[in-house]
Amino acid sequence: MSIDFGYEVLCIASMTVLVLLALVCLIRCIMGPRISDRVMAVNMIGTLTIIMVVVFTVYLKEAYLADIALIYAMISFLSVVVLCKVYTGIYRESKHEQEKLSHAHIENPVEDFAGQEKAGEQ
Amino acid sequence: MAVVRLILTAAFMALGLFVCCVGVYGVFRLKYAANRMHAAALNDTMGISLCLVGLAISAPDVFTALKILLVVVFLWLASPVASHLLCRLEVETNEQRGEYMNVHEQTLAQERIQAAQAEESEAVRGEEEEQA
Repeated sequence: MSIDFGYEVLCIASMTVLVLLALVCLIRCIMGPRISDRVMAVNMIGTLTIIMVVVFTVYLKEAYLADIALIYAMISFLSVVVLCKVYTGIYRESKHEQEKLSHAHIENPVEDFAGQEKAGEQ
Repeated sequence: MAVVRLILTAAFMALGLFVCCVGVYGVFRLKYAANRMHAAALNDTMGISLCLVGLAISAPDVFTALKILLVVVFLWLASPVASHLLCRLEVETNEQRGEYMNVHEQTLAQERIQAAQAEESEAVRGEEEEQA
């Protein structure tokens, strides 16, 4: 009887702390000046969520929630990998575009195309 | 026996949550993304390991406890890879990285060579399209 009460107090107290930590991580995620700060904060929120799910496993005494925690760990890792790759690709592409524009401002493709169209109309 | 398990779980959870708090505090205290990564890794390894070991002690059955420990083992493998990818993202996208980190000269040279190769292949592709 008293042990169940002890588990309840423990689980609720740790959940409160974890929720507060996740909210603080969310603030970091919104404030983060660079994209890597944001991805890192998302990773931290994922880690805290895994702990929350495992706390629920003990609190509700449901075994299947441990599987959910394992799958959540995998998906959170996958999301970090995908976000890193996507943002690296976006950065490279935009840099390449800038370089192309700065190198070839004499032969501007848009103006050339517009000129050709005008010539066709005439 | 149940009392011992409860006390052990509470002790491990308290330690783990303390480490998590330190990690979150470090994320706010440190100034640059690559420094913050250190605090985030603290949360990813020590914090979650202590919390999950504590919770595995009072899991409903043995298989659940082993599954919870499997989460810890998976994070041991996944967290360094995620940190490495994040650091690469930071090094690649931060134009002012020289202010606070020393990137190996060889790495920078390699990056330039890769960029040049990409440009070359793009140019070759453009010529092929023009010929077609």
